[in-house]
Amino acid sequence: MPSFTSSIRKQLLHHLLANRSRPEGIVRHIRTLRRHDSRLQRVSDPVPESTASPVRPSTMRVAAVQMRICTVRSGRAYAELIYRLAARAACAGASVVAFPEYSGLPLVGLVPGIGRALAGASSLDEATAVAASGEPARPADLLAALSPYSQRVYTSVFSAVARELGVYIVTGTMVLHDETEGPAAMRHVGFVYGPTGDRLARYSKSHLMPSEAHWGFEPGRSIPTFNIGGVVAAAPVCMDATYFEPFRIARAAGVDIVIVPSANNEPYNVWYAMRGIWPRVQEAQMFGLSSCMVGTLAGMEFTGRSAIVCPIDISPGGDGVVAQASSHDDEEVVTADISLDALYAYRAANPLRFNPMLYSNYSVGLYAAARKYRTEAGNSHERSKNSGGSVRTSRRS
Amino acid sequence: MPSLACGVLEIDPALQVTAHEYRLAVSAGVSRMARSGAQLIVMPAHLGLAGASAGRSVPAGKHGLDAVAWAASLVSASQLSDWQDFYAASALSNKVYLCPGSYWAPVEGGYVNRADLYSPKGEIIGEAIQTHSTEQEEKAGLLCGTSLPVFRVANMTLGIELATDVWYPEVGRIHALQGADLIIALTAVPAPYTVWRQTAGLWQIAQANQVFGIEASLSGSWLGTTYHGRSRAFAPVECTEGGRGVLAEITSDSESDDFVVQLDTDMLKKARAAFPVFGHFNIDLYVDRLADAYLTTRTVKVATPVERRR
Repeated sequence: MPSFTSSIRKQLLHHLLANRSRPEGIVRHIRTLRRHDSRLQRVSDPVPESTASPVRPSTMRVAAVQMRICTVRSGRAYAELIYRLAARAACAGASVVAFPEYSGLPLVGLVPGIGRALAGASSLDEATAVAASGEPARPADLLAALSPYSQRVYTSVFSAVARELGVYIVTGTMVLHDETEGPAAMRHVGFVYGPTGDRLARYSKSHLMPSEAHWGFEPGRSIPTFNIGGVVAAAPVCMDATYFEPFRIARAAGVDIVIVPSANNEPYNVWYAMRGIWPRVQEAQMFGLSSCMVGTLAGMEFTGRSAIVCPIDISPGGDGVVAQASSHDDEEVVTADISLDALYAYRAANPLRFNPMLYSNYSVGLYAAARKYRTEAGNSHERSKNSGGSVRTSRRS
Repeated sequence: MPSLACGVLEIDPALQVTAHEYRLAVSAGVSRMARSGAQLIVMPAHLGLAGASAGRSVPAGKHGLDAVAWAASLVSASQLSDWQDFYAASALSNKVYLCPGSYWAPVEGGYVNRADLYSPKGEIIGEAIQTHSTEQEEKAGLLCGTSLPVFRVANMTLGIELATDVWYPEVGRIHALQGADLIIALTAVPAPYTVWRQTAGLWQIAQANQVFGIEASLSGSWLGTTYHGRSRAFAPVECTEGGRGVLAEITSDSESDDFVVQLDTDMLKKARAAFPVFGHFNIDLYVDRLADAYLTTRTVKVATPVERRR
């Protein structure tokens, strides 16, 4: 009998989630939102595909969305959330709109009762256990079960919003059951949509946080590039920006803009925040868009100041910042014009010059050896530690 | 608990009118810092042989890096040997490790920027050569090295970065992958040297590799160029007050100054335990793509192995 009731419960849940994630209703709703948006009446139709310029523009207006973490109970509610933020950027004239890491997390609210569990929990692990009625479950299990429904909401919403607003959208990420980069696993995945609503690219996070590895996520294995309005871009995700390697790879592939969706789980400190996209942009001579998740969910505090950054020599204040959010904990949309001409002139005057003979003297095997050495030293330290000052334990995710 | 007391000694070359005065300034500074407990003393870029050009007038038309190359051309092999003897004696008499700044050394086809590391026994135990250059440096004749050795100093492993190397993350990574817990950087940046430019250099290397960083930055005037010293000791932000990532710095307007800072590797271990950056390398990705990233780019001119060791 328990298996029969369990089966009934699963079927009911399936029907509920299927209903809440129906793409047709979502797309229709976004079209309605756009039609009734008085700010956008001057634009009568979405941009047709033929107007997409393959030529690199001199300047481009871009937007980084600073999004407040929340949960939504339906696909329509998620559509309203994403439309509201993207339309704000589009109204400011942005042609590229970037969302943060975990931009798909609000969709866990599709699961009945999860909102209360998340609000009262001190961690995602705890919330997952509550939602699973005490049965053993990891966050990855919850997200995997939700994946078929959340993915169709996520992709249909961003595709429709990009089409209705006639902009490029870099979606941030959501955690999906994914088979495109090796064996099926839960990965941070994001998408790029063009002004026609077509999917232009898919990207994934290639360096995980320890907590994410603990939850059973797997890293991605590539740094794909894509063309947004004539500009080559890539989207390394949050923790990827702790490592210079993905940015070197991106720059070699012709990237001019890196878009880094982030969800930084720690109290805000400008110097902690400086460890990410800012130095990477300096080293690789690119523009950077940092879109941050902010707010608190399941005991996790996300902070960050979304920004548009560039090499310090071409920044207005000499600090490598073109524009930045005024807060680290509130919803904002940061918009700025970036000059590709200025970037190319800067690169011509200050070309990166490498030493391949040097690099060839050091095998890539050093990475594995250093990882092993540090891990062993860390374990030894853990065993022997008995005193000392405190160290903050969180870091950019 | 492995720790190292490391100090930076800034000397304004313009204040030393003769080579003798320069040596007196170095001797006094090294001695003072040794009495303060310094085990390793580091001096900025160009100071290795700045004393050799003390009091000399730069020929008309020579400025910037051309003047640096001109100064290097004045130093004969025997003069270089004399200066090395002097630094060896300073290290020996004060029982410290000493890296007395870098210098351009003539080689066939140009120069290399080199720094020597002296032991408390007065022996040269290591040499570092700049491995990345700007177009301007190359135009002035600078050639690059092709190795980044690490050295054991007391209980700590260190790597030395020279000038432009600091802004190439590959250099700090190679040092850290070889086990360096401390990276010392000898820089000389014409004013203005902003906090942002420095943050893009050694500060971020310390963060990205979870190592200590000591930047000894030339301050004052030399060969007609004014340098903006920003000598600082860096650590992972988790290890520092306010999370700034700075353990010590020369903040006064003085162009001859010093500091000594205690570097405790337990601090690094705590930061690494809090977030193991090296534990999350995506090595498959690097194997697939990173080497190719350097195939289509501009490359520096390198010195031949024989010439680098002249």
